[in-house]
Amino acid sequence: MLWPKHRDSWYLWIMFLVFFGYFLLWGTVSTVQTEEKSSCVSCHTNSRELIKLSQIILKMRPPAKSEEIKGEG
Amino acid sequence: MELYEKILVEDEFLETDHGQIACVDCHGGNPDDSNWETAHKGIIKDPTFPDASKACGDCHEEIVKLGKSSLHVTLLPYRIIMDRRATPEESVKKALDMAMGNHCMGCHSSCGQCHVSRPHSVGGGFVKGHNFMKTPPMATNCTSCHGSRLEKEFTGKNPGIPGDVHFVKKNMQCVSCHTGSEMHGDGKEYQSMHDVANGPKCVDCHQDAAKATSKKKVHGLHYETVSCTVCHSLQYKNCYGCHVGKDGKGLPYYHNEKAIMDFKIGLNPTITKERPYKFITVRHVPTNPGLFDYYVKGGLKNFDRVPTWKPATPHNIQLKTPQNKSCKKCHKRKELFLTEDDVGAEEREANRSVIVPKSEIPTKTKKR
Repeated sequence: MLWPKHRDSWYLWIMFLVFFGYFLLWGTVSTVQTEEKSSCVSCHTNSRELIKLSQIILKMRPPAKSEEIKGEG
Repeated sequence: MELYEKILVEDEFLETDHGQIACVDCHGGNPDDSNWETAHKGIIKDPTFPDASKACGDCHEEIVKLGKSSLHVTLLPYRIIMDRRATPEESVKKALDMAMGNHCMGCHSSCGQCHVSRPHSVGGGFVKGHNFMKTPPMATNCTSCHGSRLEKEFTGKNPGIPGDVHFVKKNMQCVSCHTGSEMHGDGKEYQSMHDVANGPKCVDCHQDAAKATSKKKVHGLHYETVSCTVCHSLQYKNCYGCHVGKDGKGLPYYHNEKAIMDFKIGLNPTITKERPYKFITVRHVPTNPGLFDYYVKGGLKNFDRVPTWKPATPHNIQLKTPQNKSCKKCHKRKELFLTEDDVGAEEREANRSVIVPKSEIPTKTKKR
């Protein structure tokens, strides 16, 4: 039987619904944040990781500007 | 600035409204890919340029709509001036388009390059860990592009020439005069920055200064005859002889032959209701007939259609200047005025509308 018969059971039942709802909602947001953290943000907030990667990138990347640039624009 | 600093996101950003938006929504890429190289395939570095509608438009619809015509985004005056100077042939136009693409059109801005990162043309990089700044900081954003002339004038970095009184005494920043609405544009496609309707005017604050009935007699005497900067600015930078090309590695470069500190009063080539002055300050801009010779010889056959001495608003305003000490410090002072003697023969025709004929140099003070 889904519906409680006693007063104390009613109380427990409401508390269960409140907590269930809260975890359902919080859990969903938490999952989104975890996914985000595990991908772009987890790397882009990690300076140690970025230093390591930027050293690799700098070796791969050609210079963007000529060294012959002279004067002031 | 180190490369890693340019792309380091601060945790604080993730707590802001903009930080709630998934990275991929604006920048693309593949967040599920654990390989950083392939994950960044197709990444959009600046999702606000050339069109900010998708990234910003949902929340900032009005600004995005107006911003499409902002001169910071379109650089329309460059295009218009070059079209006027160009030889009217299709092959020349193509070559000039390529030259401008390589050397000129990269110096634009965008929503992101003012409010999030430094402009790409100066190396980019987050200003504050991807936090969005309502007001772009002067030092990292405005003057990173407007640096060699305006910043040095404004902050007093030109040797022997004090900085602008608005900065030195009042600590005013660029945005104190150049408001967001001016920067964002008003939807009109202006042909020159001087035409922008909501640009700053000295009289916005100094309301009594530009009136025939001004309390200061000297203001009343010069009312609508000289621009404010003719009396209240100091020497400023003039650049000459810019040449562009590509080096042995195929990288674009430019050579600016010389930069000279000078102060010149010229004729106002476009007298309007807003700028009724006969005399204005003029500045030599870094151009010359051979500017794009690397790409196409003789591509600017109509070079003389546009002056190389352009209306200028030097940003080193002072209450007292050498030329406003007394009447005689300006009147009859030929060296302050842009005459034929100051302009090389090859540029004289181009500057006919701004060169002051010797007969026009004020001699006596007239009572009005």
